[in-house]
Amino acid sequence: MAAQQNSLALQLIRHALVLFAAITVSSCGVDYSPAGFPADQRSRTTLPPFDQTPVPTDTAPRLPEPAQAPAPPPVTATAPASTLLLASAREQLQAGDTSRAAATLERALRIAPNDPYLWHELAQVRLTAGEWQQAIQLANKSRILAGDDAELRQKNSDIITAASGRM
Amino acid sequence: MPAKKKKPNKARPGPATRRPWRITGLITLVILVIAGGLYVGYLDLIVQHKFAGKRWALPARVYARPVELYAGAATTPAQLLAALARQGYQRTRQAQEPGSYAVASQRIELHSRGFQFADGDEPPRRVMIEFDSAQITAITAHQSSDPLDLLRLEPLLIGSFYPSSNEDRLLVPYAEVPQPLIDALVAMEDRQFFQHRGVSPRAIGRALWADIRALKAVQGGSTLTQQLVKNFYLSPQRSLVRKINEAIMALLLEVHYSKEEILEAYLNEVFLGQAGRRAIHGFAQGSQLFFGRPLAELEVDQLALLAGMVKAPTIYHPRRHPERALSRRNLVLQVLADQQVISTDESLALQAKPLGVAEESAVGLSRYPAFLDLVRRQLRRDYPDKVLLSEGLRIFSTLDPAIQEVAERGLQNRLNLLANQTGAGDQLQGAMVIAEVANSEVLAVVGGRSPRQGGFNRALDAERSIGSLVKPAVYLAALSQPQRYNLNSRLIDEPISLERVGKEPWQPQNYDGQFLGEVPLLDGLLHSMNVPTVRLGLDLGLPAVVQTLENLGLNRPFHQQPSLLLGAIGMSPLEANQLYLTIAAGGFYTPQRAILSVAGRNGEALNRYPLRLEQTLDARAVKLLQLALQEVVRRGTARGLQQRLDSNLNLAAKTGTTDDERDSWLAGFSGNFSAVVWVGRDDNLPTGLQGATGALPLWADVMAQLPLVANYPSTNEKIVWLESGPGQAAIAAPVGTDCPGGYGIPVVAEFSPAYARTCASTDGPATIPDRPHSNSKPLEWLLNKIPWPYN
Repeated sequence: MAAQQNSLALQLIRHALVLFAAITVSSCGVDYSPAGFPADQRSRTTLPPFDQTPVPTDTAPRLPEPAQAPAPPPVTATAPASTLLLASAREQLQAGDTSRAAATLERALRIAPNDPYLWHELAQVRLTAGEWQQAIQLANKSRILAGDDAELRQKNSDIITAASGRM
Repeated sequence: MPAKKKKPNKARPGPATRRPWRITGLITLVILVIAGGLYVGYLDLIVQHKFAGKRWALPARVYARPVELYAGAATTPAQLLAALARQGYQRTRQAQEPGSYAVASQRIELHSRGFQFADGDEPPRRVMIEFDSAQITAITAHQSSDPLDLLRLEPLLIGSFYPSSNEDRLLVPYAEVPQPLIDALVAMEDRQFFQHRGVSPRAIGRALWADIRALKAVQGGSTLTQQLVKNFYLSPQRSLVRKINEAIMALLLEVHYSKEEILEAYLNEVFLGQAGRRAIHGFAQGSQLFFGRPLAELEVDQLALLAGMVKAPTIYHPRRHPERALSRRNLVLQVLADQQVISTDESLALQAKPLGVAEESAVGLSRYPAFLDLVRRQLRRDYPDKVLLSEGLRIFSTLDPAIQEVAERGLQNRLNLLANQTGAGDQLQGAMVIAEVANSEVLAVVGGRSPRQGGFNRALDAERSIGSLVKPAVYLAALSQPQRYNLNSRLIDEPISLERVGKEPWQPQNYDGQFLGEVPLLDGLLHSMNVPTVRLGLDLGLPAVVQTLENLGLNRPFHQQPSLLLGAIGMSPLEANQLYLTIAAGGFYTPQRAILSVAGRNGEALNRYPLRLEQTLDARAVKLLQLALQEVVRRGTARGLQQRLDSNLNLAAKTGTTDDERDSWLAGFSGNFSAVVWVGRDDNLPTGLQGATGALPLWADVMAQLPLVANYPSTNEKIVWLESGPGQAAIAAPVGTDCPGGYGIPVVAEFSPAYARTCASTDGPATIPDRPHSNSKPLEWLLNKIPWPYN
């Protein structure tokens, strides 16, 4: 029991750390970001692809506004709320209530739809419930959102392997 | 009966005949006693059976998705206040009671009501919520500095499915009934209630005396128990037999059940007025109907009004006859003072208050008939009508009332404007569906210009040609073959003629009637060019396009002919939205859902409708299509959206227009919402509106008011960006790719030509091309001309 609590606490800390890392990375702005376009490119008025084509000039690309940092994904702010739900989903899962755990995770996903950990946990719930096909699909969804998080990618692969073996 | 038997006895006088007469009388008496006993026993069975079982057929109740409050939620004070108003919260100084709130600058103190959700209980909570300009920054519990991570309001009741009797009833247990209501009810209807045994001889005597004095029936002597028996067990006709039954049953009821149990049944049975076709029963439902709040939150004067209405709900209806209702309420308050339930001062102060009845529109149930229609259809697959209409199911739906109302208003306003512009008047109609990308939950359904009145639900039932909305499926089918096609592949744009059996040959034209010779694949989609699209589709083969449509979520048979490539296929806005949801979700198909779970009348979970997804399309191909659809918004046929919506959102969209401008469509998505708008006429006549002039501004009107999240390029899909030259495809490149001019060509990394020039990447070493790059002439690899068998 104590060991379980320990591992739960560890998982929570790990989750928080990864979120923190994600925030740090996204705020650096080196990655793909929704900011769109560097400021130095907005002065351009014509674009090569359409110079010599009969496409009407009003369709010439209008460069979007400079990178005035549109809101990054609200990971920072939603973290406590979705972390809370993640923790209670894990409790429900440990208590064997997979359908309630799934409902809790779906609620968390309404708050943080792009959090790969939530998708991963939902895959874990489906795996526990014996829904192999859904476990694989959800793990794939988590994998796509996981980016460079090697550990999470590995955990998703584990679910896929486990579920495929049971089908 | 006895009268008949007496006649023969009187015919035989004399002492000799007296003994048989006695025997006959005795037998008659015994028979009468036995019959009477049996009859009372029979009534007793009725009384107990109905009282012990499920007493009422309860309507199924449909709830909206609850408002979730947490630090970081994109909720403004105005939005929260709107939600609180919808749910009948009262603005007070301190938010001491559940269902109330107080407002300070950038802060709202809230006392939530609590609710038993299918996934757990939410207790009532008193919290302080702090805001900045765009979001909630902190939530703390009352008189504490501890942050509260998450709080949800009770869900808004958005409608009910009624039993055939049309009785609408909300049950309230006795313990939750406010004492002043009981005091007022007893004072007005039956002062001896807690003393008598079901009937009150004194009350009957008094009523009889009043009747005699007035020479007609002016006063009823019924106790509350008798009233309950009358309403609960007996038919409405008036007769002496019924009156006797009523008295017997009232006595029986009192033998078996406590005063509290009887009063509880009364409080839930009582009729309180008619609302349209619905008959309102019970004080809890009455409270919702007239005050838009739970019974427990009403003030004494409001409870007095409800208690006073019992005598004649139609006569004292507070909306239809406010003056009568007011004087009735004040009479009740006066009586309460006379009975020393409240002080005279308090009574006078309460009598000075206005009725305080809520606007009917604010509490009108079944506010969103088009959405409820969708809920009902999805429920009918799993529940027979009998259960649906009588078991008091609690249905938790996905509707977001705030978004629904934005969509309704946006559609009405824009269609009014368009109707004036085009002269179409009332004939011009429209529909809109909005769903959440991550889970395909349907957030809003607008079925027409009079969204509150129901009627023809165009969002679900108007199957109209989708026109160019189909084109992304054609281009996705091509991009799903990355070894053959990329966004820069050449499409031929020259006249084409297809033979048809028994008809003129089909000769599709571009919208402007011109032919460009050849165009990059991207441009065919950007400018919604018909001829390159048809040629591409025929090159792929119809089965590949059909398969792609099915993978996107179209799951019913349809006509497979070349005109399908230009959208000669009827769909409802709901169906069309499914296709775009799958694109928005990166190729993961999740069927649209309007229901999350169903619980029984006591809150026990009966059925969940879990999130299910299935990756039906290659994520990389879908990514390329998403980028292309974003470019449609930047400089293609949907560029009008840029005027209204922030370009940093990277919205993706596609317009659709059908022959002679009969249908005007716009489908598109942000990172969080996918939405489809249709504008047209029910009689299918031309409207003079294209996708970009009808549906587009409407879509923009609505989406501009929603908390949109940008479409983010995800990093994990193995896409590389190539430099773009003249006459080539060009898509605005994200930060970090550093393409010349800010535009490049995204391709599937695995199928990137070895000698293509990759845009310098700031998050990795730039790929150095192995031969000199010239901007002046298209690269050879890009000249992927499609062989053409049809010319």
